Amino acid sequence: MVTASDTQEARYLALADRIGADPGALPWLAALRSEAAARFRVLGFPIARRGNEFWKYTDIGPIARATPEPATTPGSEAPLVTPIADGEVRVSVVDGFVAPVPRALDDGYVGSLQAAPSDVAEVAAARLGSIASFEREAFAALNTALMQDVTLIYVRRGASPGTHVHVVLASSPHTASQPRVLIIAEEGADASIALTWADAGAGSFSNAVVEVAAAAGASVRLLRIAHPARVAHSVATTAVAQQRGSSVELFSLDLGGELVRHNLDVSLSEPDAACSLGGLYLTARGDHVDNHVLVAHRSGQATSNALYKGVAAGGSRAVFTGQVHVPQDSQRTETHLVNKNVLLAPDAEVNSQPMLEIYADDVIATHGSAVGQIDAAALFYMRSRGLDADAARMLLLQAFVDEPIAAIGDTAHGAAVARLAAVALRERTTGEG
Amino acid sequence: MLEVRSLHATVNGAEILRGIDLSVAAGETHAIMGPNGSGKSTLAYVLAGRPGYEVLGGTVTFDGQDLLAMPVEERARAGVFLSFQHPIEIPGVRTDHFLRAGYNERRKADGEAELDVLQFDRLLKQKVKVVEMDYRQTKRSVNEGFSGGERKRSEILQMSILEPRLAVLDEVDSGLDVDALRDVADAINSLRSPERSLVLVTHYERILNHVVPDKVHVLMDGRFVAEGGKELALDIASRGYDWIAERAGVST
Repeated sequence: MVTASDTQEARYLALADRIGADPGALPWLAALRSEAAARFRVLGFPIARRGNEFWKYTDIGPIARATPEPATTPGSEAPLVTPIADGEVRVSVVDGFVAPVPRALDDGYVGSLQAAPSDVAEVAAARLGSIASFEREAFAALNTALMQDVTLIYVRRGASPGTHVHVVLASSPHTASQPRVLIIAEEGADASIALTWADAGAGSFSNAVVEVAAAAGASVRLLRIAHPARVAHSVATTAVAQQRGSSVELFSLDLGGELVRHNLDVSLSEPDAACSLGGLYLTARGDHVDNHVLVAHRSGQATSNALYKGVAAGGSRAVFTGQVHVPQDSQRTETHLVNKNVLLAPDAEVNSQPMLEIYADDVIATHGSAVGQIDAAALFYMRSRGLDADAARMLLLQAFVDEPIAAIGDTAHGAAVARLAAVALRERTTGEG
Repeated sequence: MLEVRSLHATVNGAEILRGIDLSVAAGETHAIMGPNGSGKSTLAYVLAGRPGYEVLGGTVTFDGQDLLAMPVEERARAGVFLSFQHPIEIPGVRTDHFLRAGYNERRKADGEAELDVLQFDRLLKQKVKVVEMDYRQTKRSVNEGFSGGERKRSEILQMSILEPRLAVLDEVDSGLDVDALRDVADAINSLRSPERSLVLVTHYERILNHVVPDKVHVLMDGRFVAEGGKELALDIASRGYDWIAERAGVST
């Protein structure tokens, strides 16, 4: 029997064949794509509902059955999005294709990999595909097989451009796209980057892969903002590789969507690497948002800290899975993993699963999970002082989400998250209950 | 100002108030005394409109309005204030932000302009002096990490800012040491006026030595069983509640 997912898989593989047959492609890139296509052919979409731990709470059947047109040319419209920081360098990526960037980045490069200077392109060639493994991940394999353009952000050794880079991604209606981003911060470099998923056209499917390489002593602040993809599907994979003494702060703001999955995969491969992962997801009726965080302490003496909070309105579902892996040799590891959720209505649903797998013995580790409701006593107390129920709920939720936002610090990223979260919370509290 | 007629109420299915009648005129201070479990706090909560406290029968009018028909926040905006026996902690919500939000709701209801942060801060700085509260404490989360005394001062601070027409003070003296009790009582006295009525709900007469009531009502088993002046409170102080229970034929 030929199922819809076979058909869509076949369409993707046919496109992979066409891309592979392009005589103008760079040989290393053609080889990488071909390897990934072969892997996707084996893996297929992970639609199994039994024993499929990685996709336990998110059924990707709708993605496998949908039939958006695989993108082969850039969509025309660049999305309009509020800047995150003054004077930022803006990169528009529509249907996975990078629009020309009008401004250069001091001490580095921003733009399509194809247009990069040769020394930068050489470094990128060595890293692309080395951080986001597609061995077991069908979506990473699919993206790698079909990527036709790569957004490259490169910061030279010791450089701190001071310019914020803002990548804005959009999908045309009924289009399947494979946006690919590669961020390289060389030794001691400092980079501040935001990725905004905006304008997901109806019936679109975006399958993005973002790779981040933080070399020794590099410092990277990355903000992911996913605007609601209401009648669209979105899978994104962020894979981070950190070397000695590097510091990565990553914050993920999910504002909803019909089927949104974010895989975050951080590898701390050398001592004194530190990552701070923050997240906030605010779901409204009809939304399904799944955050899957994996932190691998491949080296000892590294630290990781994750705090994700969620507010789920009635008729929505939010999922958080956090896994921290500390093998036996990774002594003197410090890791903290916390997930807290508020359900706004009885028909809201949250699945929270923080997991520590620790085989080393000299480790400081904490983890916690909470799913609750707005405190009825606090609500009454506030109303008894004259606040209406919506305003009281808003203040309580604002207080709830302030913790991860405050952890971002007083930066352009913090301000952007605070602004967007306040708007989203106001929408979700008005008239609920 | 406040007229309660034949009020019956249940909490979790149990009838706690079994026919309460109470008239409080403007400017009067009434004490409602009673042993534990007599229904004192229930009466306070019913007046404030706490969800889960179901009124089975009777009426409550406040300035001629049907109080029971009003949502919690409208009662507050109309001028009813409840000082909580156990003030609620609200982590992450700053006391001054919370107070300003409530204050501005009251002003909106009265058709007055809202105060901005700076204007409200000036008001707050004056008001903290009334209750001898540390101004810096208003920058902390509502009641979080506050001592028992600090919480009660914060309640009275809220009362002084919201300037209610009717304040129901539930066990305002519990958890206070002698000095704090005097400060809180002084603050309450400074807030007495011919337009403002007070209802002090209390187990002990202690607070009534400082805030002298016009009338004392004794609540037992959901009904008022004795009424009198300040001397009734003194009687209870020396003889306890049993003699009233016996006289009224109520088992305590």
